[in-house]
Amino acid sequence: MLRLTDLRKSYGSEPAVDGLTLDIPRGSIFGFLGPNGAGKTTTINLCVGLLRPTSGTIDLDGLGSPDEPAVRMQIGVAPQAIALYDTLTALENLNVFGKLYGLSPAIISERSAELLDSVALSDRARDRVGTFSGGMKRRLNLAAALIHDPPLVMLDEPTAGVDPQSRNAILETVRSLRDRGKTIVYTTHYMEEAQRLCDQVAIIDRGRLLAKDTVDNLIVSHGGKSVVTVQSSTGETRIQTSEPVRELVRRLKTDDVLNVRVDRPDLESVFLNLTGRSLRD
Amino acid sequence: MKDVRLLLRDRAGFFFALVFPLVVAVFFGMIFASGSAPGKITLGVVDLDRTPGSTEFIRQLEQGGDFSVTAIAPGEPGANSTARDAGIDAVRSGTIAACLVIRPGFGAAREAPFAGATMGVELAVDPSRKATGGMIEGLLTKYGFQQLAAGFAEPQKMRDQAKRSLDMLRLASNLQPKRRAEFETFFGNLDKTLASVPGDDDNPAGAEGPGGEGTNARGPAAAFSPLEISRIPVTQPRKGPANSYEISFPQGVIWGILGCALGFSISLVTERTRGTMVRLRCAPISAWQILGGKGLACFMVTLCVSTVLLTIGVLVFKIRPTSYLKLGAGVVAAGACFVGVMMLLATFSGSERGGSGLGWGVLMVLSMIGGGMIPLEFLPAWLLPISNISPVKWSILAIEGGLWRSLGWSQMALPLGVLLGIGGVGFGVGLMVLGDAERA
Repeated sequence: MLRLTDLRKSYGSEPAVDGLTLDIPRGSIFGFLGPNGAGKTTTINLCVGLLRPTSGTIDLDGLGSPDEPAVRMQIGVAPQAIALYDTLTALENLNVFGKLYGLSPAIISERSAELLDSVALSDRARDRVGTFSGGMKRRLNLAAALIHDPPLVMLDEPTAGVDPQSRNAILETVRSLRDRGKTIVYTTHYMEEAQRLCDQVAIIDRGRLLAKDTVDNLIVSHGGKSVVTVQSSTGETRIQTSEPVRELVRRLKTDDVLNVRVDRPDLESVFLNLTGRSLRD
Repeated sequence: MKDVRLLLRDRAGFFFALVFPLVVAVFFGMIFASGSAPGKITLGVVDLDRTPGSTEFIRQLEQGGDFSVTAIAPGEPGANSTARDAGIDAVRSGTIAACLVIRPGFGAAREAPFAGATMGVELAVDPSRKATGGMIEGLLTKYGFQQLAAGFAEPQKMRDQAKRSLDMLRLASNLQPKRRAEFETFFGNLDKTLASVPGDDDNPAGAEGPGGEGTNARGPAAAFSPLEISRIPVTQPRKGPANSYEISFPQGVIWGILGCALGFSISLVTERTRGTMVRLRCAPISAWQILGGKGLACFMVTLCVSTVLLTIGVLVFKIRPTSYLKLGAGVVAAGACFVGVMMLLATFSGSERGGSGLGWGVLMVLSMIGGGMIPLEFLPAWLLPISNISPVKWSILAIEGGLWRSLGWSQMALPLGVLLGIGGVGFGVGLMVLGDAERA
């Protein structure tokens, strides 16, 4: 669906994106995971045509680069900053953005009703966005990206600063979009979101692609071993093992176990093993 | 439409775009309404001469209609302050605009203009009122000439004075023969001239004067004037504005246009800082379409505001444009100009607060030097060429051209051309800079 070939973007001598090559498959949720400043937003901005690459190419479904208006027609964007007009109502915002894509008033009206329903904002359709909570604005921000029903949707940290209820609603909406055949590019620095949502994850840091695979494969390849912590009458023991269940059964048979905990590797440990730093550093 | 809706929902923006300009137009129109008497210049007078001549001069100043005359008395007893000092103090404190001190000998010189003495006066004017000082001197010169003209009302008296002057000259021992002969000739001719001027008895008031029957309304003094002034009509077919609102409403329209331009400039900055510009740039439209849409919305709003203000002016305040077509051309050109100015301002603003400060600063200066606040005729001479860079000046001229100046199309071409040029350059530069900045 989206092909990035040796994509580079520098600001002076400082590389923000450094030789990114990716093939993002159609109908999947593709995650960019990395700490702040890793180059996730820059990559998104390059993919939607907001920035010009220093070198490299971007091709959307064989149609060309996002410099072309016809290519941008295929892309929906929910930027990291909430891009809505506070003095307009939710419906008016969707109307404005729908017209940018050449939609007729009838289609805009129909889609607006569907989208507001899907993000649970139907009862606030005629209220000004300035009166919305942060979570409501994020949901409307997502709805605005979908008004023209694009096949490719770019979501740049769509749950930043959002309450848990709104976060769940957004994640469910994203999943349903994938189920309807859309391709989602999702950036986040929350490991849990990437693990929960993404079919494939690209781990980037300092503009470079460190690894790309399914979550399970990344964990198996780079996550290291699980850690089984056993608390017994003789004290606490931590065992690194690639077979935590077998190790746990063995300990239960041999030790006077009071408490157990199994820490399986996750994307955090993947990132730590790849970079030597924590995702949250 | 989105931008128009945003402006209408911004209360402060709406106020400065429409309400404030209307207040300016009506307020200043009322102040300068032709029905009210113009303010007289407050003039303190110190008469150190105290003769019938100086008294008569002061009476003429009081009745002339140009001055509000106040006699200055000496200061408090024991304060060691003369009337002259009191008058200067009154000017310094701002109580009066100027103080006129009539020097001793004024009356004698008035009675004998050819005796060699002059009607001497001293004038103290507040230094901050440079224009007023010049005006006062001009008015006093007018009244001074009236004293001279009054002298010719009694030609026999003048002949006696001239004869006395000639006798004095003949007795003078240090006069060169050639100069003596010249004076003899001069006074001889003067005597002949005065002999031909009819006196009061010969030509009473109401009789036929040089202008025909009944023109000698004020007696022979009216028959003589050192300077005959005839007024040339400047504006056609009307002579100037019909009322004061025809002067104040163009300024109100300009304030409305400035308010719109500033509002849209700030909204453009807001789009960039709040992130909505990202959505616009991600859409399948180009940078010039985005900025052009902003510019078009600004232009349409300026036209609407101008139309509303002028409609109120026509319906309520009886302004009568001499040419609706030229008035419309002026409004359109002014609107286009300030769309360009709006784009330029937006390119230099990185934040809403910065945009607001920069916008007001620049537009205030342009308004000041362009005659939007103080009429151009009151600005110092060195500033007048600089005013040509202000689009406010050309906007006022273009709008007044269709309102009351009755300019022809060839005369309108310059202000219209300047306005459209500024607008085009501003829009073009803004488009280049903003378009490039948005896609670094």
